[in-house]
Amino acid sequence: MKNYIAILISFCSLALTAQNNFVLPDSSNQFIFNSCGGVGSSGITQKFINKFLFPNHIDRDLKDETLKKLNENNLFGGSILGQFNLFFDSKNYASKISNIFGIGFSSNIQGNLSFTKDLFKLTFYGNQPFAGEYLSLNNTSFNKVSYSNIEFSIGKTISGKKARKSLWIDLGLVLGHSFTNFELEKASIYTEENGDYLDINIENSKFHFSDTLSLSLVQGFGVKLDFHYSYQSKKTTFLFSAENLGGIRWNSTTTASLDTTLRFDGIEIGSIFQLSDSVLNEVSTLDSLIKIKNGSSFKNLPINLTAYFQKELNFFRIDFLLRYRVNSNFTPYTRFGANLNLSVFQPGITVAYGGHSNLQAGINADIKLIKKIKIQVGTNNLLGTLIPNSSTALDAYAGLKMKF
Amino acid sequence: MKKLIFFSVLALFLSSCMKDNQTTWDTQMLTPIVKSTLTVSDLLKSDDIIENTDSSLSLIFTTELFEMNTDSFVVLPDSSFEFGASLESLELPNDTVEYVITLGEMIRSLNNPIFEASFIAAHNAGTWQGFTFGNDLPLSGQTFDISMDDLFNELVLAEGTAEVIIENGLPFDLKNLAFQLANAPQPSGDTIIEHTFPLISKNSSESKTLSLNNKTVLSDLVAELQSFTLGLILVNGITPIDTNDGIIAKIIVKDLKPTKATATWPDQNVIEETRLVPLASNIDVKLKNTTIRSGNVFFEIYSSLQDSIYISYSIPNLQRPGSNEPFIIDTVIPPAPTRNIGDPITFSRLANSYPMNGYEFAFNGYGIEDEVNTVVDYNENGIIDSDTINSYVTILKAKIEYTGVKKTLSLEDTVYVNAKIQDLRPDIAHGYIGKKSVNIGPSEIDFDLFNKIKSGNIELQDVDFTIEVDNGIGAAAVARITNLTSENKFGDQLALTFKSDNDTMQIAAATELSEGSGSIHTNSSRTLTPDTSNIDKFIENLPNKITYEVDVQLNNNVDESTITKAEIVSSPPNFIYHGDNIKANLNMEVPLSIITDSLVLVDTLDFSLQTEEGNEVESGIFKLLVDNGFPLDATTSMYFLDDNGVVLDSLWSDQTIYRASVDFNGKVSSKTRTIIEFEISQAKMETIKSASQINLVAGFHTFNLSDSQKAFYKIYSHYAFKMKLVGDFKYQFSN
Repeated sequence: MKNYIAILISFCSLALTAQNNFVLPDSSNQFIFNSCGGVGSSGITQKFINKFLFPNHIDRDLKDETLKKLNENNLFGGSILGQFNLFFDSKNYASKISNIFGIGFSSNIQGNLSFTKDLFKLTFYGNQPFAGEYLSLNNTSFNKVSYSNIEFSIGKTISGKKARKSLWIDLGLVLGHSFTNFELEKASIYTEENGDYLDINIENSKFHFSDTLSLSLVQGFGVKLDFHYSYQSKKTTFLFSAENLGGIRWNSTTTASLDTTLRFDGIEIGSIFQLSDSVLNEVSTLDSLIKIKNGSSFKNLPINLTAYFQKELNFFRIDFLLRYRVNSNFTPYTRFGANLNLSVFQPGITVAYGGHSNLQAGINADIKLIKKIKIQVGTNNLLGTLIPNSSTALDAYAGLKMKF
Repeated sequence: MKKLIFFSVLALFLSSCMKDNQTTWDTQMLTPIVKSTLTVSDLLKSDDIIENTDSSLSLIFTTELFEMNTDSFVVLPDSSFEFGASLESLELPNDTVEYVITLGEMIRSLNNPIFEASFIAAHNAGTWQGFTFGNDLPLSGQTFDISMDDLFNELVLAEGTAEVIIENGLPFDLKNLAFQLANAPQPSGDTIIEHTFPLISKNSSESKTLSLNNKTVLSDLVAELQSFTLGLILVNGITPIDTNDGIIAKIIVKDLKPTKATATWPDQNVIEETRLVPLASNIDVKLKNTTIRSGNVFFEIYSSLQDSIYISYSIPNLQRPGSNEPFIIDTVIPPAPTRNIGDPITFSRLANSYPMNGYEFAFNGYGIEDEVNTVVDYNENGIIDSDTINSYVTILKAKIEYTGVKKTLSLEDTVYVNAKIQDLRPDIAHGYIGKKSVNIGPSEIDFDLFNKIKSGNIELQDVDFTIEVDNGIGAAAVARITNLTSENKFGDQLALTFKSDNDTMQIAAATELSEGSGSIHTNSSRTLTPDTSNIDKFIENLPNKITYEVDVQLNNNVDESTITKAEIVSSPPNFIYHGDNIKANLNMEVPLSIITDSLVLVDTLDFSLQTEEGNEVESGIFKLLVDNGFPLDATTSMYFLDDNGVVLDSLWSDQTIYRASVDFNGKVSSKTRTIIEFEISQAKMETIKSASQINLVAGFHTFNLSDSQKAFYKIYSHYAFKMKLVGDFKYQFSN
């Protein structure tokens, strides 16, 4: 899996959540390609993430350093996106109103985790160092979804003397590939000092996932709707988008509810000196112990809400991005950026906070090769590379916009 | 759900180690893995533990000591009936030959035409026509050929008679009539009989019976009236003359008993023998009756007769239940091979076995006469005999049947019969079965109660050791334990001794409501306690086998001189039913109120820690949490063995699990926890994975036996070792 991630990151020249290569109707036909990818956490350092993603051994020192930086509750997330769009803005010189048409394809993998410091302890240290303590797993949730969609865009552009206003929607057919959802609303684990027993408390918790055994690429179908509004004047650009309003009907899913308090003090066997046989015999009864429901089910897509503002100054261009993802262990993301307004190469910097991570600082560049082609590359978090022991995110993005 | 968590945790432990291209990290996991409870039953590997009313436990052990079936006590002897006999009464039928000589034939034999003409005239006139005169007229004889070829070829008679009857139908007296019967041809043939009648009056007859004993008679005979004289008295017109009148000679042969004959034989019995057959004379049983479970009549017949012999052999005392039909063998022995004169005697043979299963055999001898469907006086003494014992009646009959074919038989021909009743096994028997004595052993029984004990000592507060005998035989007996020895695995032997020097055990007889109603078993027991024997030491020797030798004698207290035949017939003192045996069990109950002094139990168990490839515990520290609920210390060791029992490594050695606390009654008041930690390195783990057995050694100790403060502790049903294996693993995870 991590190889897959690495390859995709390399291929797509990754970006995270906030490159600026937006689709903005401007009375021209456009071909837009965007790709982005990255991971981020509110507490896990980039160094730790790098060790986790790229084959290596996570040693005790790294775990200790990371543990110091963790809050009681933490976020971790990542995504990979590839997107192609063709956008046609019909020119009607007799009218101020023109129609917008478009078609696009995108593929998306998103994963996120909300976890406690104790879960980190349990996972990376084990329970033995914390025998005699309660480890809280409250509000732990994990979501992962992978899907592709083909979308068709339609809208209107009203061109005025000072500004151009556009409103359009994307209607997409969504092909679901897989999803996993795991929620522990209230959970804890206690290990008796000598390991005599484990007290495990789980309340209002569940797990839900698509068919893990299926080899089919498409395990569900759905629809989505995106709303876009843009305002563009000579100096100002404003864009608001509400994306992924819809969901996927998954063909085969497994759901289990977990709501129990138990004390595990070992498996009762006939003879303690015949461990292997006894335990193996118990395995055959495991499935019957979990109340599982199988069947098709509907899951909403994670909704993206985006507001973008850009202002042209004499030598600079500044922008401000506000983004939120619903039900994705995502804190509101804000980013401020500035780029030099040079003729071909327009370098810029960004400062951001939120999302799956905390403070981030990035660099980017717009490259205008000819009047009709713009290439955009950058990262929203350069710190992950420069100071991996402190930074908690890493991403990259790349975009291409070509007018014709 | 509990198990789900367990397996989740275990899955974490067992998830694969770091391999190429995988991120890994080390964790330290602490989790209970398995737990179990060791009770006394588990420790001793025995289900033979009972709970007493006060919840204390006792060990019980029951095993069959010996079993003697009814065949051990009642052996029915083989008995045989042999009979060899020549044909004692060959018989041929009576026969009569008749011949006539007329007056005309007599006159013609004179060759006197005048005299012949005178008689013809007189015959025609009906009376003599001529002068009257009287005179004796001698006449020569006349021969007659007789053929008996249809009946026989030759008879050699042992006995027989011939009656010669001369009827004089003439009006004249016959004088000096000489008669002869001889074998043809004459004159060379032997004369068989001859006789002269001096006078046979006119119109009368005379007879003479002559012996044929020891005569040989051929089938072609010549009868001759050799000479006689006519006493003529002729009166003219008076004397009636009929030339057809004459002399009739009759020869009647009867009561022929040939010693040898080639003849056409009529139906006749050639052997008829009724005998009273005793059971063997030297047996000590006195039987009234029995129902046969198995056995047979072996019947063998030899015959030199050149004719089929029809054999009927019956035993009226042997009857089929319900129908009272006697046991009968009907068979035919074929003719002996034909032989020529001078050849040695040849025999035909028939042998067969006839099962007697299910028959009722009354040994009442001729007393059976009124117990058959029709009363028969078998011994022809004119009375119905009373019942006796140990004997039965056999009847042998042999007969030949008319075939129309001449066959040569002689009194030298023999028939030999050997009828043997053999291999009798009774299903039910009544009578007196004697003072039969049976020795059992020396034998040994496995005693596995203490098999796990390797060393140490034990002192028992009490032992209840009982020999229980279930008797299904209707006879009292006495069992004498001549040897009962406890032998432990070290070869230490301890013989059981009786303080009262009474090593016998009386066994009461079984009863029955009525003959054939079935055996009602009785139970007799002999309890051995420390007060009457050294049974406590016997058990404290911790035997793994017990050897024994026992003598059992039936009817030991019976005065045989008082047992009469009448009593056996009317009220037989003993009975047996097959399957209702004498069975002795050894029952032992040991209350678990004990003192153990370094009592070491050893057990070897199969073991395997092989898991799926790649999912393996590398190393770790394990804890064995033991909550000891017994009032005794347990010093334990655990070893891993290979397939050959060779010790590969140990997990721990001589770790003491401390005893539970006891109150002033010696009863456990609270458990004591002992934690045994042991570390398994990677190298040791590899060794363990190659092990196939584990060897557990546990030494239990309450007090030294020499301790003056020692006290017996009762073991209660709720006492147990609660054991839990906790893993403290260093485990490497990978993503």
